[in-house]
Amino acid sequence: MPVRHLRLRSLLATALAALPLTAGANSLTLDDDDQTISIDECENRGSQSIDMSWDLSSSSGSSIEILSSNASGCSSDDTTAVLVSDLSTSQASYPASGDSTITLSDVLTAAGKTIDSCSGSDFYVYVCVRLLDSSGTTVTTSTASIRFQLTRPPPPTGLSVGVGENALYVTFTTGTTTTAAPAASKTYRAFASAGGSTFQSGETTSKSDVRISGLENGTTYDVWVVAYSEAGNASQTSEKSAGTPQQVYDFFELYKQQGGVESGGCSHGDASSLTALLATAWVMRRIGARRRGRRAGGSARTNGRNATTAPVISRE
Amino acid sequence: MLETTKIGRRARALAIAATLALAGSVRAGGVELGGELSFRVQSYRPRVDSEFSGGTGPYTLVFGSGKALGVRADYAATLSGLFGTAGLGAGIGYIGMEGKGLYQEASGGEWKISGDTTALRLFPASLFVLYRMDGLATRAGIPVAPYARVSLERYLWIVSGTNHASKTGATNGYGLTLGVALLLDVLDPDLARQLSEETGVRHTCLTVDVSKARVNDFGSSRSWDLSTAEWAVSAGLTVTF
Repeated sequence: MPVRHLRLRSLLATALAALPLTAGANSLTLDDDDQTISIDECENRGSQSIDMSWDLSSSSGSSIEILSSNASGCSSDDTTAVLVSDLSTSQASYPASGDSTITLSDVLTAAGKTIDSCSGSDFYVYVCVRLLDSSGTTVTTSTASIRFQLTRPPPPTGLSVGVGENALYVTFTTGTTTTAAPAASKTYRAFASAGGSTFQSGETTSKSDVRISGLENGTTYDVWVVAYSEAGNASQTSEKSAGTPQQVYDFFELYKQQGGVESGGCSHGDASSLTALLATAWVMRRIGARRRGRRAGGSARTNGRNATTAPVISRE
Repeated sequence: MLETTKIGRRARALAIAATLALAGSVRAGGVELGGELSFRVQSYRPRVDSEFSGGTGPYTLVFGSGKALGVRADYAATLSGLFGTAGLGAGIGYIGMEGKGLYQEASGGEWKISGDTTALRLFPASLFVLYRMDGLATRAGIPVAPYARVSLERYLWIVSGTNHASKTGATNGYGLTLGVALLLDVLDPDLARQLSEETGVRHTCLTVDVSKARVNDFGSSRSWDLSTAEWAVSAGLTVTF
């Protein structure tokens, strides 16, 4: 047992010793939606801004610059260019008030990426923040990556459509990735269409009973599902299936439909049951009052009335 | 007025005497006033379908033929004597059943399972008297105590369904429980004594019992039947203090 305590103590000491180093490390963080870029965002790269924040507080320097590169670390050996320079060391995010925006186009150009169309294989570019001293020498650099996901996931397969009241439920399986659709499926959305109107489910990670609501009972809808990759690239639509929402009976409606007599609300028995319940509650209350009375002073007299001789009751 | 007071005194004295007689003899060793808390997991299947003759009833259609599981918690004020413990208490529980709503095929009218969910949720409340024969355990060291509980039951219920307004109600009845408690403190008296000194918990028991409840508003023709279809089995833990 003492050996175990020693080991635990030793582990705890190691963890505590490592804590200040971890907390004080320099870092650069991109906004969540800037870390993985979809095909749509790539195609609109000129209007897609990149927001970031950093912590360089464990080092000291004179100014900060932001760079983009085709390699992590943004060294001069890589295709690297400065996007923003001469930022104050007190600044910890970009853009701040008065700053111009860094776009995906800026980042790609600085990293030497010339993409004519946002298709092909996935690739990475890197954004760095560099802390410089007064002579312009690099003190420290922190890096974050941007993943351009230009591939799509495969369409879902094996659709089955379940009936709901003013709704349809779709169950399916994830499609198998191919060279044409190599991206992993992350989320899904089901669609239903009839008479020129299209309805959709919420985006979900579930693959069973995905609900499309707002439909009309008795109308037959075409139903399909689309998968989305981590970046949000949509798959081709799945094969279509059909479904018709119907009036659904919940348990009580079914019970009544089959001739059940219960109608809800308070109970239907005579007053004896309620009287019995109240009587038992009254007896319990009396017992409680007696106990409280004894605790208070050993006398069971309440409300000015003389109590009957109480039995001798001992308590551990 | 005087007469009424006398009758009241006599009735009260009789009630106390009866309780003490049930719990044991005051003279033989005194009685202890206390309380106990019980937590139980219980199986349950209502007799809702008994209302319908022929074919499968609505409960089975929606929730299947299995039993649901629920939990119940009881508190009782107790008097412990030479032969056992008598108590008067109240309890509340929860039993939930979930299934799928049904729809009727346009052609043929056959019932089909939909994707919409529906649920029956019960909150059984009870007032009860109990008697546990734990004299053998405390005095002879045999750690088993049979017990019985007679209760008045009021089942509050809610039926809900996807996109449907909930339906609520309450159904009254009564119940009988027969069970056995295994007194854990007899197995390790030193630990039990320490627990008693430090926390005030005098006994800890594992319990197993069977219950039969008649919950149909005492046979009302306008009520459904939430009585237990068979003996409901429950197991749990009781602590007395």
